[in-house]
Amino acid sequence: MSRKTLGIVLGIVAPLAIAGAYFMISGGTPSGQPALANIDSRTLPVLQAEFNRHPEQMRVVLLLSPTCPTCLEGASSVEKILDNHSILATVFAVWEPMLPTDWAPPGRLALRRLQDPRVRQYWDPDHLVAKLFKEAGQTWKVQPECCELNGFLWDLAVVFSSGQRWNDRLPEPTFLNGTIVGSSSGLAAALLKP
Amino acid sequence: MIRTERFASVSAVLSAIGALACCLPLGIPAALGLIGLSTVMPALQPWLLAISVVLLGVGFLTQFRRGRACRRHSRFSLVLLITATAIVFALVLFPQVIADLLARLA
Repeated sequence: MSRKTLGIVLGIVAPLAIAGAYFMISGGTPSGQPALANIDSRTLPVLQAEFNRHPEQMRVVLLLSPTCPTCLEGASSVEKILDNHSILATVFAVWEPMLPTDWAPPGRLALRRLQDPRVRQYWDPDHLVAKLFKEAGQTWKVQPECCELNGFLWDLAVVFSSGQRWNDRLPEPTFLNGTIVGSSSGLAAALLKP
Repeated sequence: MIRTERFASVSAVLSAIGALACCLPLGIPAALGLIGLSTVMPALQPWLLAISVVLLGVGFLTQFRRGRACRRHSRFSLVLLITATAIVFALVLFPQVIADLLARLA
């Protein structure tokens, strides 16, 4: 490869690499939200405590992949619902590595899809939350119409009504479906139900 | 030879984009009539990414391998190959950026 060609290649690739790294690596959550929390067997009880902190509110759990465009669309559709309605709810956005391209925790672009301060964002590299939902879901009346890959649930929205607590097992949700963007009208209806 | 170079570059880009087709927003596969395919694609993603890298390798080999006869390289093929490399590497190294762009296209 000639020097000129190499120069052109570097001239194109270097700015792209810097821009890409900026959006991938600087993964700060939007203002008003706690920092992105890692979920492992040690910190799972922290998520459980956070879930039980406001039992008077509805709780929404989202299972998302940071490199799945449909999941990103789903996150934006939830943001739109939160923007348009003053629902008393806490949203737990759990990002998990579902695709081979999910080799990094969610970066700025993914996290900023959910800007609302009612949202808490988590990175669950071991699919602990998805496993819990699958296990608990076997006895639930509501079942999702989709959303399983390699045995793990993903691109799924789950709504728990106010008053419910997560004790030994997850409580029965009032809404459970995906894809999130595809079922956003059902999700909005579940959240707006008096 | 030039055909091989161009075929490898274009195929590499197509297979890399195909790797993300598993989870394209509903509007895009619908527009292409590929709704059913989107349910199969997640399992194919690692293979499609591997095929992209192999095809780029084929492209570079055919572009820069010295033949017996001295021959000029097509400038278009070179540009195509460099563009394909940039796209495939962006998909592999910065998948969240590409996923965000695809989601915005919906």
